[in-house]
Amino acid sequence: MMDQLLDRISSLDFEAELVASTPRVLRQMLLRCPEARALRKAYDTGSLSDEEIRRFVDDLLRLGAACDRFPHQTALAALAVMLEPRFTPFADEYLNDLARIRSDRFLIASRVARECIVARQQTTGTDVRHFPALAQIGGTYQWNMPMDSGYGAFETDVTDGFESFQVA
Amino acid sequence: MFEEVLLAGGGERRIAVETRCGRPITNVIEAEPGDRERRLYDARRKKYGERWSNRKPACGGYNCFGMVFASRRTAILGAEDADAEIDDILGDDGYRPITEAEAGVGDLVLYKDMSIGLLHAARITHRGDLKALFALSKWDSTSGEDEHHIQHHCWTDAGFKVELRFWTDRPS
Repeated sequence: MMDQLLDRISSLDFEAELVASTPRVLRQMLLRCPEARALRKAYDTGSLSDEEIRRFVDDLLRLGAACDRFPHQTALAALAVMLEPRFTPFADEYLNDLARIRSDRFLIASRVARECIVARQQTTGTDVRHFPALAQIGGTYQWNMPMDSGYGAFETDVTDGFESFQVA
Repeated sequence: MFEEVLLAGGGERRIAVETRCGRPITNVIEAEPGDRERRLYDARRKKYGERWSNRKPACGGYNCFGMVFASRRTAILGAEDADAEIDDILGDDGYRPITEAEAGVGDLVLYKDMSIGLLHAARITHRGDLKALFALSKWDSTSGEDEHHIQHHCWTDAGFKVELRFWTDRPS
């Protein structure tokens, strides 16, 4: 099922339906297409893992390595749109790395990723909220209250352990 | 992720393009299409272009906005607010909105979706039978150029609410 969905976004038929003259238009079209929604649902439910996406992208990059223009940019853009509202380390890595590419081989895909980054910043406010990587669940959890420093009331920093914590 | 691509670099090619008022226009020269992009263009012609008349086979370099505003030299992909950039070009270059009835050869038709925004720009080539307008389009950065009835475009599916807007640089 998941392989079919990934094959679909890298297919000629899928691309043929998305006639976009600019990256902004391509992102908007991808946001509306059922395949991107299905991918997002699969990602949220865990039936599409980070590792599968990584393998899929590696395969595409290998396939298009010899081409002057990378031929599967729509598939990369579809994954960017899928990951846009997901604030995980993998989504950050994918979007930031794709957006950093300055090569005429990847013009469209990298610009869609930049559009996605702008859109997610607008969604969350001024900064992106990052959660630390999940530790393996197991054992017991213990909350150690910090010791009073002796300088009056002590306020616990509940955001400790989060990077760039900011709520929209 | 994308480490090898990032390491390989490559760069993007741009040229100096300005509006008549000297405002710089963000642009980038697109790579030439490969085998897959040529097949994609053929697939689109089969899907949407039964009645299109081909002027030029699939080529890179420019997109629809580059065709009408930059003489086919480069692609105008839009900066942060692409629609505003096109509005700036139209204003600076002396275009004014007109009705479909007023539109003629050399004028522009802009395709706008109500939720997505500006989709496409084409240049009007002639008026056919029953005063139907025909235009020349380059659908994306790797397609060819096709002449078509202005209503025979790629966004006829139910999901799109496309509105056509006409602009001319002729004096009123």
